[in-house]
Amino acid sequence: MRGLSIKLKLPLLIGGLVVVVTGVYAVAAYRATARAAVSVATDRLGTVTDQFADMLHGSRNQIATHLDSIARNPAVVAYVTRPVPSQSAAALAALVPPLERTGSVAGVALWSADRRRLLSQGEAPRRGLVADSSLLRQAAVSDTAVIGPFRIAGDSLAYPIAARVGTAGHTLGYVVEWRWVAGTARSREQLNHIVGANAHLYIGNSAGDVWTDLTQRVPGPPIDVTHATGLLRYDRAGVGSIYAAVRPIAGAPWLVLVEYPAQTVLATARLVARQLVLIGAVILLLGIPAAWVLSRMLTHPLARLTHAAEAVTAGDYTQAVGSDPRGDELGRLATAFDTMVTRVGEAQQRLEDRVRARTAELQERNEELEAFAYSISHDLRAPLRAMGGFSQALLEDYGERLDQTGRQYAERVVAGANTMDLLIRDLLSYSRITRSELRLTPLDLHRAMQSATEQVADDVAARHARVVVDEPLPAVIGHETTLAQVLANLLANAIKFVPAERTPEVHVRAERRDGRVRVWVEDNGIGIAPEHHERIFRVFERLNPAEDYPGTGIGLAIVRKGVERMGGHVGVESQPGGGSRFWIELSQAEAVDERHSHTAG
Amino acid sequence: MSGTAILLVEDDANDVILIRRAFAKAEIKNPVYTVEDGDAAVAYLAGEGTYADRDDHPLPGVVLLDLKLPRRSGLEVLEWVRQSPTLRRLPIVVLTSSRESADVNRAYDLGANSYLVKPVGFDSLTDLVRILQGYWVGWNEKPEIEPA
Repeated sequence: MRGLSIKLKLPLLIGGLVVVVTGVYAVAAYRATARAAVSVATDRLGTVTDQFADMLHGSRNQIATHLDSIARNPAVVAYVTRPVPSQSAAALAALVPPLERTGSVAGVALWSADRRRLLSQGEAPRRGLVADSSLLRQAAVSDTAVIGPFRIAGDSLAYPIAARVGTAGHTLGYVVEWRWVAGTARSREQLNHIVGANAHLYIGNSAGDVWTDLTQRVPGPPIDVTHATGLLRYDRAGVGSIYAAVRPIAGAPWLVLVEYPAQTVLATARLVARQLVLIGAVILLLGIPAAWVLSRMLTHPLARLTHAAEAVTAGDYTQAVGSDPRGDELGRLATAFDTMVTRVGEAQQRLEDRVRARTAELQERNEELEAFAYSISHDLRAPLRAMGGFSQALLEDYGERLDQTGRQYAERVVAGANTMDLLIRDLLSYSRITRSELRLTPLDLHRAMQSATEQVADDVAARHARVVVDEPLPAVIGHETTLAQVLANLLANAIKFVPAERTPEVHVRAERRDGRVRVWVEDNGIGIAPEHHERIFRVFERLNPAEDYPGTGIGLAIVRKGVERMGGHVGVESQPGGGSRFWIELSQAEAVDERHSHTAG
Repeated sequence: MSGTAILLVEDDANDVILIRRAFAKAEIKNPVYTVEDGDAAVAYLAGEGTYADRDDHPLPGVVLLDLKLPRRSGLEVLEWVRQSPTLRRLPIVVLTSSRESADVNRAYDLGANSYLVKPVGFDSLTDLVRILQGYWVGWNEKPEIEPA
């Protein structure tokens, strides 16, 4: 869920919510409906069962009345009182049931007071249907006929009705009738229909041993219902879960049982639950696309905002989110974002403009400086040449007409012009080394050293100096012309600052130190006190009078500037009178690229 | 050989005198003609106007060209010569006071045959003029210059 975009999360969330709400609601509704349905069914079951119990009680009374009338028949009374064969025909005639009832009557029998069967009509005895003494005892003490429990006869069911012949306290005998339980399927269906809702009506013995649906014998309920009251619930094989109610029937050893399939009872509840689930599914089907659309509406401006923000991060200030017609929070955010980007872009633009302007200004200043240097190199040196040239011409062409002092003056003009020329040249060198762009490449230190030696050849010759270079020299990163000038200045210094009576000896060597190369230029000169070691690299710094050691005081400043422009360092180790050991340090080059070493010279 | 003319393009009168004196000092007999600005140099080389007479103003064997000139700069003169169908091979030696690498590189880019910086010391100037004459007038093999 963490990596999913909001666009996906929202529909999933809404879908999940719909499922949960629908599920909970469906379960709750099902339970409530089921409870209501069961309650209704319980009431109805109770009512129906009561009604049937009453109805059967009425039927029983009818049957009892009929049998009582037989018991009072004079022929029957007479035969029971005195069972003689001559009377039997009349008695038997009284026992024969009317034609319309012959099918349901299994047989009628007369019993003596001492419970012997006197006379029998019908098939009942043949089918094993014989009254037991407990029924006769009941009949003896009852004012009306009594009904006995159902009895199984083969695959049929029958029940006895017994009535006392005689008066209370003076029993003459008994009349017992067996009736078949022989309702038709049609009458049973009608009965069930009256009960309704797929209900089934059963009647059974109070003992619970025999049950019938009024057409045949049926299996009883799987639990003991003989003493049950209220709503019963059990499973009936082949039908399933059952709700049932049971009632005793007054005046008969019977129970009436009404069964409702739970399915029927709960059908409404299930229908409601099913419909709720259906409604939930519909909501889900409609809701998820709706949520998708909604989340797109929400996330689309966010996505555009993100896109624009990423563009800004990448430095593109032109990617506006665009105007959003809606005035909601996202719309306002987009507008605010655009405004912010515009402002930042403008600020950036202003900054760039200022940098550009400043750069242009610097460029202009630099050009002015270059023009100034150019001007010096041309204009300042032209009169200098005139001074030197004409003084010399004066000496050569008119020397003999000047006296000693006049010639000295002219010589001093020449010397002054030469010094100034040197000064201008050094200043221009320093300025050039400071300003010009140096492209650093790997280069051959040996070649730079050669070039430097050539530059100081005159000085070497003049002082008969000895310059020893420890070959081979490694390759370094630098700018060849600049490096050659730096080395030439160091060599010139090494030769210059040696007392006149001493032969200058210069030793050049290089050593590698952690990816850098240190070049040492060692002399046997006058040396420098440690407190001056830093000063000597500054412009115009001189330690010695120009009379003894002529120079501009720029040479070492050029050395330091040049080395720094090549990314290196300079230094000196020296003591007065002990010679000086100047060093420069540059980055070491892996190897000199042949093309560079050929073209750079 | 002494007849090969040298054209000196130089606006500084002092330099003209010193250079002419150096020529004299070096005992160089070649005629030295002088013009003082870039336009004059172009006119001389093209043989136009006052320079139309080649007897008075012969085509030089070598031009000594200053860069900083009035009207038309030395570099412009150089460019003009190198683009001229007839004069393009004319040897041109830049003789100036600028050491700026921009000037040096530009001059060579435009086809200068040599680039020399005027020395301050007079002895050096005499040496330079002597070497220059010996090299460019003496030893140097001249190209064919088609008559204008």
